Amino acid sequence: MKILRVTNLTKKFAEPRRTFFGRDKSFLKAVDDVSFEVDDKEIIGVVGESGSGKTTLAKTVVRLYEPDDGRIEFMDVDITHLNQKQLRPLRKHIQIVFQNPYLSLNPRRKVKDVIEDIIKLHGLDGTVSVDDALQAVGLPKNYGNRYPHQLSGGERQRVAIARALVLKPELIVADEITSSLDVVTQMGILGLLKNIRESWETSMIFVSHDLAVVNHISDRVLVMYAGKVVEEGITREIINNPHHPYTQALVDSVPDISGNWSPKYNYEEKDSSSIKGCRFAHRCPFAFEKCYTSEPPLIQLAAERKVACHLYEKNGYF
Amino acid sequence: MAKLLKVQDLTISFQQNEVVKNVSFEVERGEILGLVGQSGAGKSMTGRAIIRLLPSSAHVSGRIIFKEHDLLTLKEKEMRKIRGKEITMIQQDPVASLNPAFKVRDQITDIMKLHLKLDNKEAVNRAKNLLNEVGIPNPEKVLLKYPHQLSGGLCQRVAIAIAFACNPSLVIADEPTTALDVITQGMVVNLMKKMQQQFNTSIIFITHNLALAANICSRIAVMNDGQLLETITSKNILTESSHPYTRILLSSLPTLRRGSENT
Amino acid sequence: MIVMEKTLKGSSLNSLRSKKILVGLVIVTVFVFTGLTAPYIAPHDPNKQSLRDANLPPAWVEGGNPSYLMGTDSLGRDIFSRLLHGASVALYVAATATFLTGVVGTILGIAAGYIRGKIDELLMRVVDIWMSFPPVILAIALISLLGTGINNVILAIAVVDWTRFTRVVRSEVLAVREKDFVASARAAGFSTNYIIWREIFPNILPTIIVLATLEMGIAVSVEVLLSFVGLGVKPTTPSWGTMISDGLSYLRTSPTMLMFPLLTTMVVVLSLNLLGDGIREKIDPKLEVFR
Repeated sequence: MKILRVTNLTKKFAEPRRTFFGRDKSFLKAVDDVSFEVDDKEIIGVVGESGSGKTTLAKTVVRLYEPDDGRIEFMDVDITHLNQKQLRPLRKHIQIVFQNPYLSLNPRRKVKDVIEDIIKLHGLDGTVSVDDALQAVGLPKNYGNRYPHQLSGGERQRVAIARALVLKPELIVADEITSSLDVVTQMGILGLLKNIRESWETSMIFVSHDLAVVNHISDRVLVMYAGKVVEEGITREIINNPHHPYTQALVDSVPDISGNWSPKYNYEEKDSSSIKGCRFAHRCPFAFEKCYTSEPPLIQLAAERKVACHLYEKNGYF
Repeated sequence: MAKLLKVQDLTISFQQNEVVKNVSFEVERGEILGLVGQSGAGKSMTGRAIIRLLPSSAHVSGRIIFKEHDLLTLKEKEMRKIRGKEITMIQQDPVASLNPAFKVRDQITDIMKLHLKLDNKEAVNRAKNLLNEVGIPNPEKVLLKYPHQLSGGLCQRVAIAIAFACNPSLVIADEPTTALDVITQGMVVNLMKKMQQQFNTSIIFITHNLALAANICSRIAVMNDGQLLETITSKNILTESSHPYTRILLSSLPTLRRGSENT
Repeated sequence: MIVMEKTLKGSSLNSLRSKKILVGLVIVTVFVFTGLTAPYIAPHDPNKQSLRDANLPPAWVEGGNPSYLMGTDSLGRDIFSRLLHGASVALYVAATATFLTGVVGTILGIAAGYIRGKIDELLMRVVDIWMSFPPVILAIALISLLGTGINNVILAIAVVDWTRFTRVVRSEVLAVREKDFVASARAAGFSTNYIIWREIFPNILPTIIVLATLEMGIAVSVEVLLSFVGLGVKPTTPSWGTMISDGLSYLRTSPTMLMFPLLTTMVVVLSLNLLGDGIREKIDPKLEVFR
C-alpha cells in the first residue's frame, strides 16, 4: 500500500500582480497538475526555488489547503475534500513541521506542555510520554521544563519534530525545516530524521530549496519549477545524470568545496506565469519552437525517471 | 607592496556585550577575502565597521587602516568622501537595498554625480554602460524601472553596478547571494568575479556558505562567536584548516557527492 | 462615476482604483470646486437679509420660491448660497490648517525621527505634555485669548493637532531609516540632507498624504463645531456651523434649515475620511508606494 498517492493536484490562488500596471486579480496556479506517490518508509525530497510551489504542495498534501483539482489518497483513503472535522482523526497519521521554529512554538508554553497537549488531544495518554518524545529527538529530559526562548534554533526545531513524532504518524512533511539553521545544526537535524525513519518507520516528504541538503536525506526527489514537476527520480541518479535543463542548472549551481565549481548558466528570470508553452522555455538554453507553444507532459523515461521536457519526447531531440 | 586594508584588534560591543572580539586580518589589493561564519558570528558587523556604518549605539575600538589612514579616526565628513567612492557595500536583500521611490537610473546617476562630479548626460551614459557590464540585456528599459518591478537577480546586478560605479578599491559584499536562488547565485558570483578582475578591486565577501566562499575567495577568514579563528587559503582549505571549528564546518557541509562524511 | 472609473483604469492612476477612493474623491472634488467658486456661482449674497422672504421652505415644497432653492433662514438669507459660501470657509480652514499642521509636523517629525538624540527627547517630551491637555479646552482657551474669527480657528486647530502629525511622521521616519536602502545611501557617501529628502521623505510621503487628508476632515469638523458654539467664525461669515446652530432653533417648523448644513458637513467629513482611508489601504507597506 502506498502511504500517499497524489494525482493531478492543482491549487490556485488569486493574486494581485506585482507589476505596476496589471489586472487587479488573476489566478496563479501555485501547484499545477502534480502527481506522485510516497512508499512505506520512504523519504521524498521536493526541491525548487522560491515560487516553485513546493511549500504550497506540502501544505495542500496535509490538507491545510483544499485542492482545486486532483486527488489526495492517504493510506488508500481519499482525503481530497474532507472537511476539518473529518480530517481531525487523520492528524494522528500525517504531521507537518515548518521552517521557523520561533513561530511554530507558543512562547508562553513550556516544552513539555506543548507535547503533552498533543498527547491529550488525541487520547494517547499512557502510550507515549513526553520523555520518550524528547529522547527520540535527542533532547535531555529536563528540557521539558524550558520555554522556547530558552532553547536554540536547532533545539526548538527538535521540539517541533518531537511534537510531530509523538503521534507516531505514518507520514511527516518537513517544509524547509533546516533552512533557518546553521550548517552544523542542520546536519544534526538531518541525522535525526534519518534515525526517525529507521526507528519509527515513518515516511517523509522533505521540502527544501537546497539540492545538497535534499541529496543527503531523500531516496527520491521531485524537482519543481513554477508549479510543475519537471523531473522525478532516484536522488542519486538525478544528481549524477540530470535530464531536465532546469535540473542540470540546479546541479551545476551548487557550490562544491573541492573548488571545481563554475556555474555555466547565464540568463535572466522573467515572470513566467503568462507564458503559454513550457514554463522554463524562456530561461532554457535548449529551447526550440515547440517549447514556446506547448507544455511538455511529465513522461516516464525509464523505470525510475520521469521528465517533463520536449527534448526527451519521441519526436524530440533524443 | 602595502596591504590595502589592515584590520587590527577590532572590537565591537553593544551595552556590555562584545559581538566582535579582537579581530585582525589584512586584505591585499585585488584579492577577494572571504569572511565566513554562521549567523551571529560577527562577520556582518566587521564588514560594516570597515565602512563605518554601525548603529550609533555600537562601541568600536581597534584600528582599521585603509590606504595608510585609520578609518576609525576620520571625521564623518571625511568618511563620506570614502564611502561610495573608495569603499562600497552590497547588501543581502537586493530589492530592499534600492530606494523604492526612484527609478534605477536616478539611483545610479546620483552616486556618480556625487563622487565623480559628472553632469546628467555623462552620468546616464555611464549608467547605461555599467548596466551592460553587469550583464543586463536592455539597459535603457531597466534604467526607467522601479526596484519593485525588477527581480531579485536584476536588482542585485543593479546594486553591483552602483557598487562599482565609481571604481572603488574595496567592495564589502554582505551576504550578496543569500537571498537569491541558487542558479541566480551562480550568475551573480560569476559577475562579481568578472567585475573584480576588470576593475582590480578587492572584495570582502561575507557569507555563511563555506563552499561558496571557497570558490570565489582566494583566502577565507573563519569567524565564530565574534572571534576570527583562522585564515586559510581556499585552494588548500581541506588540508590547511587546523581549527576544530573549521573542521566541524567542513564536515557539516551538505554536498552533491555520494554519501557524507558524517551522519 | 462610470466615466471616472474607466478613466482611472486606463491611466497610471490605475493603482488608486478602489471604491473608497472613488466615492471620497468625487465628493471631495465637488467640495473643493464649490469652495473655490462659491462667490461666482452662488445665486444670492449669503448675507443679504430680507425679512419679507424669511423662513421660506425649499423650492420644491409648497410655499417655496424657486429663486431660493433650499429656502431661507429666519433672516431671509438664501440657504443654498450660504451653504456654498460655507464650503469656501470650510475649505479655506481645512486647507490652511492642514498645511500648517503638515509643515510643522513633517519638519519636526523628521528632525526627531532621523536625527534622534537630544532633539528627539526634548521634542517628544513637549509633545507628551502638550497632548495631555484636553484638546477641546485648549482650542477654546486659545479662542478666548485671541478672539473669534476664521484665522484664529485655523490657529487653534494647528496648535492642537500638530502633535499628532509630528508623532506619526516620527514613527514613520523611525521605520524607514532602518531600511536597507537608507543604509545603501549612507554607504554611498550621501549627506544627511540628501538622505532625508531623497531617501526618507519620498517614502513617508504616502503616509503624509493620508494624514493630511484625514486632517482636513478633522479641520472641517472643528470649524463647524466652533462656529456652532459661537467661538468660530465672525457672525458675518457664513459657516455650516452657524447655520446648524440657527437651524436648531427652528427644528420643528423648518427642519430643512438644520438638515441641509448638517448633512453637508457629515458628507464632506465622511468623504475626506473615506478618501484618506482608501489611500491608506492602497499603500503597500513593503514598498511604501502605491500598489
